[in-house]
Amino acid sequence: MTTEQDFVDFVAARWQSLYRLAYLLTASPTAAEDMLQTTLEKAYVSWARISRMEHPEAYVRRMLANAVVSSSRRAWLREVLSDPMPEAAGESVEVGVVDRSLLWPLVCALPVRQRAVIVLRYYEDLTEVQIAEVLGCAPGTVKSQASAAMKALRRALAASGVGEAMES
Amino acid sequence: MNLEDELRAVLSQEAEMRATPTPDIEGMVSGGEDRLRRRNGTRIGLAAAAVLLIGGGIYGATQLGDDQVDSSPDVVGQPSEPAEAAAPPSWTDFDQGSADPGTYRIHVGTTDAGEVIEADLTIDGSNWQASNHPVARVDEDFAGIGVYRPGAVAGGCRMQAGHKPAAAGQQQLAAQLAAMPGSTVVERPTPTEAFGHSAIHGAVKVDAFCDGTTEGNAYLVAEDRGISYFDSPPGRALRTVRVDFWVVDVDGTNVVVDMFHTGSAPEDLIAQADRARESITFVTE
Repeated sequence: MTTEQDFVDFVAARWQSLYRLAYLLTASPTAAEDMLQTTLEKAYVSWARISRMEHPEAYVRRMLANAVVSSSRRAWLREVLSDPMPEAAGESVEVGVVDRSLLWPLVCALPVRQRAVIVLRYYEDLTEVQIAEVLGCAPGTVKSQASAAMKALRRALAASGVGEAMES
Repeated sequence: MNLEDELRAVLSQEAEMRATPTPDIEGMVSGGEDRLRRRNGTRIGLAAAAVLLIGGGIYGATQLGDDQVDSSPDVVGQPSEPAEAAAPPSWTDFDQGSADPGTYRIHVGTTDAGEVIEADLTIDGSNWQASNHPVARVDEDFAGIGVYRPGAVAGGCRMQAGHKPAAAGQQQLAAQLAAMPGSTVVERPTPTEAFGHSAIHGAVKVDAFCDGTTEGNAYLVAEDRGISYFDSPPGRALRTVRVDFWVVDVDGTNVVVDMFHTGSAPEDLIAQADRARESITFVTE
């Protein structure tokens, strides 16, 4: 089988799964398609190497997540870091009745990097360390991003009336 | 059900409900082939440069390995990516960690035509910390450098002023930066040459301390480009930050380079940031 045919077979088989991840990361159907197209173009360039990996799809998924976050990086500056925030994943906050049609728009409204952390954690089931590897940052950054995202979601849920049923 | 479980459920549900478009596999292959051709062109150029340098007896300075001289056009399936590996490491790989001295590549943005603009920047010394863009710190003082294509500028403290869309004209953009909320002009915007391009340089002092402890309470120079002290209560001297900015014309696109430092930053810290700023070279596709 040629390298190109192997690549074509991979895309045909895994496109739906990859698109779903791209959609969750970008929160936009068109941006998801564009980002995935570009990521797969790049994957094609190195396909012989990627296809020899134990888990080529996992590698492409990481390329995709990294591309989404990198494309949105701007010149934010944090001169003085705050103390590490508490681990969000360790908290078990009870939520009352959450209308899931309400929760997804709130996830979409998160900053890209926070959304990526949430998607990689709760959709891809990656650990903090794995997410840090994917996004090219320190585990502490993942922790603070996750914490900020969860805090923002809880705040927004509270504002929508779900908060009365939540523990802080 | 807790929020974590709700998130798992809603993300799976949303992903499964989303209609999947048909993949343009032909476009991917052809786009990938284009990338290969561009890459091979770069590699052939690198190989030619290496030959010239060997002639000059300074081959070692190029740091090119043997694999970088391979100019085979058919590289689908080649295990390594030498030309891409020859580029400096991406700065974003070091987000919020301490940064070693060396040269890094920063993603700046894209031109209106969609071409990617990047910048190479070299840092020296041991004070550097990555924070999306480089920041050198000594105790509570800091000096930082940003290179970006702004979409909106001058939000000021806690976005009270609201962002203004970045002006299309070089002079107008410089004027917007010189009139940031709470700022005092130190050097009026003046045409100059910088980073190998025509530029306008100006400098202001701003009271950049904003009450609050979150990113949303930062002093915003441009969209997503801010000065934030988070919850470290700075002294009075630290509140004042000098911001030097250059609006640079990079192939018809306005790019901003800014460098700022706290009012009490020691001279060697400022000099360190100055050297890094002077090392900036722009790279376009």
